Amino acid sequence: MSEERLFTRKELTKLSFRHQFFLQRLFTYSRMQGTGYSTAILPALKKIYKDDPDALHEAYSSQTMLYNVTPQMSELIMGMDIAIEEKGGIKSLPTVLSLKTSLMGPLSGFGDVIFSTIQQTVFGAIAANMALTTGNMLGMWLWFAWFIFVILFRPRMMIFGYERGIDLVHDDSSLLKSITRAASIVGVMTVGALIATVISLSIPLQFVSGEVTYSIQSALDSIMPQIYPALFTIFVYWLSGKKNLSITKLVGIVFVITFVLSLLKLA
Amino acid sequence: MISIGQILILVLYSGIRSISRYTFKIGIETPIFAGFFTGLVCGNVESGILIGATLQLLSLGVATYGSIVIPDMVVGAIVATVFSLKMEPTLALTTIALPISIIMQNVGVLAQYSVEILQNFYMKAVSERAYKKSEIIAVFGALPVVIAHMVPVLVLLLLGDTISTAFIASLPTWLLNGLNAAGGTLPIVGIVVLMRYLPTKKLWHFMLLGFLLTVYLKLPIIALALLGVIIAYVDWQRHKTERGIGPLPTLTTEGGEIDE
Repeated sequence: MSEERLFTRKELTKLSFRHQFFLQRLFTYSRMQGTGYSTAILPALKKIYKDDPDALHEAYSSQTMLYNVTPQMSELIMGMDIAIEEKGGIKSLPTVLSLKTSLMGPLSGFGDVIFSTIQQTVFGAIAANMALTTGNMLGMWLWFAWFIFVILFRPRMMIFGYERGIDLVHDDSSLLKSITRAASIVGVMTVGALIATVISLSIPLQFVSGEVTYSIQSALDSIMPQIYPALFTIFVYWLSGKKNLSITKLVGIVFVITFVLSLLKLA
Repeated sequence: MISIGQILILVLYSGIRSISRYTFKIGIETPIFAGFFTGLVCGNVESGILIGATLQLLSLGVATYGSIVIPDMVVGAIVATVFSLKMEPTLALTTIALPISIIMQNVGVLAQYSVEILQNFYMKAVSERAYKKSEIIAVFGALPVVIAHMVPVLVLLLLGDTISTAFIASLPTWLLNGLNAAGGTLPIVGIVVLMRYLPTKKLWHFMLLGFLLTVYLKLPIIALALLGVIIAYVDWQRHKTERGIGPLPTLTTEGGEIDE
């Protein structure tokens, strides 16, 4: 890049850590991360509009508008925002605000999968699974390593957004979709493993005829171990799609069903 | 049950993890760490791990969705681990962690609303061009939430000794069996929520593969995840050559069916 840019990579890195600190500090239902975003970007605005206090005020006030995106994707938007405002000044403010609004949805769609769902399925599941089956906390430390990686990676996203972000928007989104699909495959496979390991549910009921005890559970185990919890999971999955059930209601339903099964000696 | 010093450490921890959750997300805000840490503080790490890991599974699909209000499993994990000094960990899960987590969800909503007041001060400072002041308000932004995460831990642990665990010991066997069984199936909820957010219907065969590899071949979960990476890579290569034809996940249509 030959043209002189206003912000160095070092400044953008600092801005990213500031952004990580502030983004969700003032989270409310009315503006969500809006005021967090405006606080985070303030030093950049001060630098861009250093000769024009009125423009600074207008930009700062406008940046408080409702905003909500997967926090780990927000760096990308802020990098682009700074690049545009640096170039276009206060006249570009409407562009920036509509960019923020229009990118929130698609970036969250991608970011939620990678940084929430996949992170939870892969790292959370590994951590819980290892802890429950062997008492080994290695999985949890692995998860910590991922958290640290994300914190240190986010400045790179800010720099990427600042230097190349505009090109990314013009690109087609098939790359993001491919990444989402690949990550989802890893995710669903670990979910399969979770169903096979972490649910403890078996049938204690036994039939005694003469000297022989017949256990339903060992019969099931010889066909397919963990088939019982798997079927229960599929049932709850089906149920959760039927109605708009909240998490709390789902917990209640699973609790009551298991309790009744236990009374019937089926759990 | 535990000393006042231990209680203060746990209260402080609950506040710090709340700050972490709203800022850098360093990983101490997960239920599994909460159980582990409480176990370390109280000297019953094994119970702590069991309780923390189970609550982790229960909250899998929901725990880090920004600031969407969700059952707060961390307070539940802390208090249940402390109580498991005097009772079975699985019982502590169903009789203590679960109700507390659900109550804490509503406390969290209340705290979130009170942030609104701080935000009004913030907006006022912005309109008065008191930028420094607005920054200071933002620093203290999540304070109501932090307090809402600390006070209940303090109260519940101080009350801990007066709550009689003999009461739980006197419960009939069928009830105890039922509660224990219910503790075992709770992870289903977290798994199902994950299945809702993932493109389960399109990728169900990969889920079945993960299940079968685990039940029959007893693959450790890290091996399975690494295998998953290879399969995902192969799948990516294949779809790269036939881009636009291959089925792509539409996550927004399947997700979001479960609120909260």
